[in-house]
Amino acid sequence: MRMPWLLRGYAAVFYAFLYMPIGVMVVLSFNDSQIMGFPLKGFTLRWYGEALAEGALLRALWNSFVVGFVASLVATALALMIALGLRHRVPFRGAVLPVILIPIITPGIVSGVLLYVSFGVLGLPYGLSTAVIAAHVTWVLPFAFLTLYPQLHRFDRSIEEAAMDLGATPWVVFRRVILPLIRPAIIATLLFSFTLSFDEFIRTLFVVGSQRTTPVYLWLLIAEQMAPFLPAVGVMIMLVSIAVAGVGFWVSGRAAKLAARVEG
Amino acid sequence: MKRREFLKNGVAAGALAALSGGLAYGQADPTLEILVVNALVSGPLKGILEKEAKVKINDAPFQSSTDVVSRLAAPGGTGRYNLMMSHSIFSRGPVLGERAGQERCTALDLKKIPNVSQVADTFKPDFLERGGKMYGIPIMWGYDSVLFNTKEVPADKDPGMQSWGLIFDDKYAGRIGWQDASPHMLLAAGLFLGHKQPELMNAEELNEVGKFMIAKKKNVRTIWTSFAQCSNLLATGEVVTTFGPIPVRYGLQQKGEPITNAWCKEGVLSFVQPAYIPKDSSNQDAAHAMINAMLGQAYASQMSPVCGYLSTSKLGAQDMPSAERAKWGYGILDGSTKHAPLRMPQDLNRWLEVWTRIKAS
Repeated sequence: MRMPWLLRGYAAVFYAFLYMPIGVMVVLSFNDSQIMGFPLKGFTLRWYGEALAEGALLRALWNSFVVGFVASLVATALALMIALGLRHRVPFRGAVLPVILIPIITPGIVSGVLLYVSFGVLGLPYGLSTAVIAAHVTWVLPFAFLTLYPQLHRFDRSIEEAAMDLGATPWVVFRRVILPLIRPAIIATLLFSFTLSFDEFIRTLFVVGSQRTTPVYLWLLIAEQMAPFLPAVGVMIMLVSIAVAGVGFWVSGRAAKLAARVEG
Repeated sequence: MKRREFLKNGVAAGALAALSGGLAYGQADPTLEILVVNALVSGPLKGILEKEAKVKINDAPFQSSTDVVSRLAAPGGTGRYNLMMSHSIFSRGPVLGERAGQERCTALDLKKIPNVSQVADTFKPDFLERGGKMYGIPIMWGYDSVLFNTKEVPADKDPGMQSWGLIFDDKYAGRIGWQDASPHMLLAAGLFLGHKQPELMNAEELNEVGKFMIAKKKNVRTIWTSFAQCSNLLATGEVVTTFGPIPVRYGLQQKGEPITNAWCKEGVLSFVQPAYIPKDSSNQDAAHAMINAMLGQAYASQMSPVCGYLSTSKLGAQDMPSAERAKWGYGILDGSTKHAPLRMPQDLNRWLEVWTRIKAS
């Protein structure tokens, strides 16, 4: 069936509205001009070179990678344990989900202030390895849980029971039965969590101390000056996010196929 | 090596690298954590301070003066940083507290800061003092004025045009920028409308200023929120004149753009930032040394050429040619350039309400 022209037009406008800013950023990243804007003055790769030569940016990227790596590992592990626990009858089971979702419904700036004050009251140091990782785990955990829980919820428990009937301990069942089946979901959760952590800004700004993550570094650039390599930095960060999301989609697809095979 | 082993080893190597490399790749262990305008420790300025004061400097991301004092006043805030700086108009209350004994900062040992004698007399009101003790010393100052494109606005050739009126002028309708800053914009409009001390305007006068700005808002292209946005608007020619801070003018001039600032006949809005040491700072000697270095010849003379802000130290401009002194704004010190010190209005809530009304109009 052919799409009516009105719908086609709507779709074209919709996608243009959605993706044109990204397209403009990509174009400007190659523009040989000191200012971020039109008219275009020629093609250059200079801004990519300058961005990559910026030591502070590379440090910020590294910091974001490490924080994202640790936060996603911790959040995924916690989410997995909570999801496994919720398959059993536990006290206050009904209250767990709303509590886990609190960081999602709390505005970022409020979370930032709460973290700032809490760390102050407790006398804990700010910095990447302390407050920032805690802030990121708090932020990422609900998303990790919401990604993992449906996978475990629809898991056919008769497979576990069969393994236990054959003498497997709970740990062996987890390691040899559950884990291999949900591994793609875990990897997808890790990647999703990593992306969320990598992009997190407002909570980080409150507790980062004197270090920089990539979003904080970019924000400082925008707040202080008009650095002509900003579009190039934007494109590089976008590529990182696209790469991570691409791997996530691939792994999710694999998980869906595997689940279908097990159910079949 | 099998694929699975390769992946396993790769992940292990990555984790090991992350741990051994530390979270802050390539950074030396900090000895002095500071929260100041980041431009003040940018480029060679940081090296000068580190060498003179024999410290390692780690500068936290600076958001605003209000953020600095909020962080100082928050639980645990007196031990987070070794040195902080914020506008003197915001700082006095949070730094000194309500009564003697409630100070959040340490009383400075002036024997460790001999360069305090170099602070220009103009900045005497901006020292943070109580009971004969000194808690904060003015280090940096600057001003907000009108920025304009010299190719479009001939105010550089006609000093008579140099007025806050440029950002309200119908002649530049559709090409004017305002900053989204409540007291600043209203103070500028107040100065233009003839109030010598606009921060003292009563409710009726403030309303009149608000009405004037609402009437002129039709001329405004945009109300910008970040320095980068302001820079871009000026550089692309989208606006030809705007309320503007020093770093924007400085950054654009460095790029060769035809942008300069007006020495408004009503007075540019000047501000001062003192430095203070939170009372639970872990490295007070080093912080004293840094304050002293900031007032010293090497740092003070480089402050304007490197970041555009001005030093409160007389050593900052003493060897500067007069044209350069005038360019940076040191004329304010000898009275050749008029300024209106930025003061906070008493009834800030009313000012915020008026500014919100203007924005919503």
